Amino acid sequence: MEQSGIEWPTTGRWGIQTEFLEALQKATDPEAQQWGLLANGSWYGMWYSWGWALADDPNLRYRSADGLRTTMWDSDGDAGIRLVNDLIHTHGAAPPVSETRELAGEFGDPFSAGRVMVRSAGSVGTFATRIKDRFRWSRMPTVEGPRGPAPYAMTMQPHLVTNSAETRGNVEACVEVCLFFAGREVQGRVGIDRGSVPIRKDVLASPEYAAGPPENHGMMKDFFEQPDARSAQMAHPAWRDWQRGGSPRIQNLSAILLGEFSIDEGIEQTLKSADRALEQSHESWQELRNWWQERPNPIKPEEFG
Amino acid sequence: MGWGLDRFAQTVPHINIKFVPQPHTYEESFSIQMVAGTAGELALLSGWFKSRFQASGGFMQIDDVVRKFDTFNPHDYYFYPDTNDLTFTDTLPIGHLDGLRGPMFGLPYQGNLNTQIIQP
Repeated sequence: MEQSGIEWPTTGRWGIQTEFLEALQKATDPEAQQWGLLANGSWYGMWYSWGWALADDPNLRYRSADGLRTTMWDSDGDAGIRLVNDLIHTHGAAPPVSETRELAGEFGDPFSAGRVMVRSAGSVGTFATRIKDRFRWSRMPTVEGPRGPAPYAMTMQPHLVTNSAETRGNVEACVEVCLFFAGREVQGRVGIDRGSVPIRKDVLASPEYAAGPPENHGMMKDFFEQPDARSAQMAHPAWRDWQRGGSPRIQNLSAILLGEFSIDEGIEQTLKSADRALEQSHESWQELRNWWQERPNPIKPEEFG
Repeated sequence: MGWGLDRFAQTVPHINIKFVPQPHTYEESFSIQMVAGTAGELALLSGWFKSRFQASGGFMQIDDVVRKFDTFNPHDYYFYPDTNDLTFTDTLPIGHLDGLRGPMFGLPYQGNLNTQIIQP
């Protein structure tokens, strides 16, 4: 940023379509192999957050609550994926997806190679190992839409107890293992190694977790404390088929960013195949919902004061 | 994970863990194991995988078991809906600051947030 004369963002001055876009363009110099943004179409991409922040509907989610429609691009929520597409194909502020490997060189990814100013990164352990002290890097303040900071998307992989544990009489032992790995000691270590993001509030609030690298790592707690977080809506037996849009060809939407489809064609095809996956699985979705409503004695946070 | 397993063996020696790494194609291989009844007793998985096998009884509800442990407090954690739990959280707000809630089939382990990094 400093080299390109870009000021560090402050609240109210980091608009997705204004200051942030200008910064990405300013940082771009293709002849020097320097780019503003590393773009990708992954399910977990930054463009969902941008879409939620820019959509007319403040309550936009990936999928409707009745399990029947893909809603992520309703109400101009497609502004996010369109901007990523434009950053590659119109603004030229993101390198073509096909050049990512070459730009990564020996460093494993274009950001660690110092070729892009901004990239997605939840956990940062890999980048700390790759970058070492070759250049300064930081958590990025939240970009903003007309209503304020863009909502973040949360994901998590849990330890789950299978029915094999009951068959072998080991459910209680499995829960003890789960508790240990979700406990302060292991999650504290996760907060130091940073191969994933700790799931405990006390670890995210700790000075060890706030310490760099990268700079401003303590921002992660602020990101989590935003009231407007979104989850991946995984209560659906055909979630994976729906997320893939019903077609491996459109998996992760990379085909759009590679230019295999126009953005309009890509959005249309993705919605069509994703909604088809929802329609075909609606009966099993309803079965799961009925099963859920019959579960006895669920944990309630208020039980614990 | 290796560090955690070593610490667990030191801290809780009465429980032996046999750790079996899964291939990248675990979606297929673990699905087959679930159907065959040969899956491991505890697995690091995504919430969507759980949803696929839940109504057929593939995963155990643990709410009453976890209540027995005084080390468990749902307020210690961020709530990632429909991952270790099944709550059909399909509307906003998701209540991610308000603690874990059930029914639960496991506990959180490996979180993520779609944030960005930048060169200042």
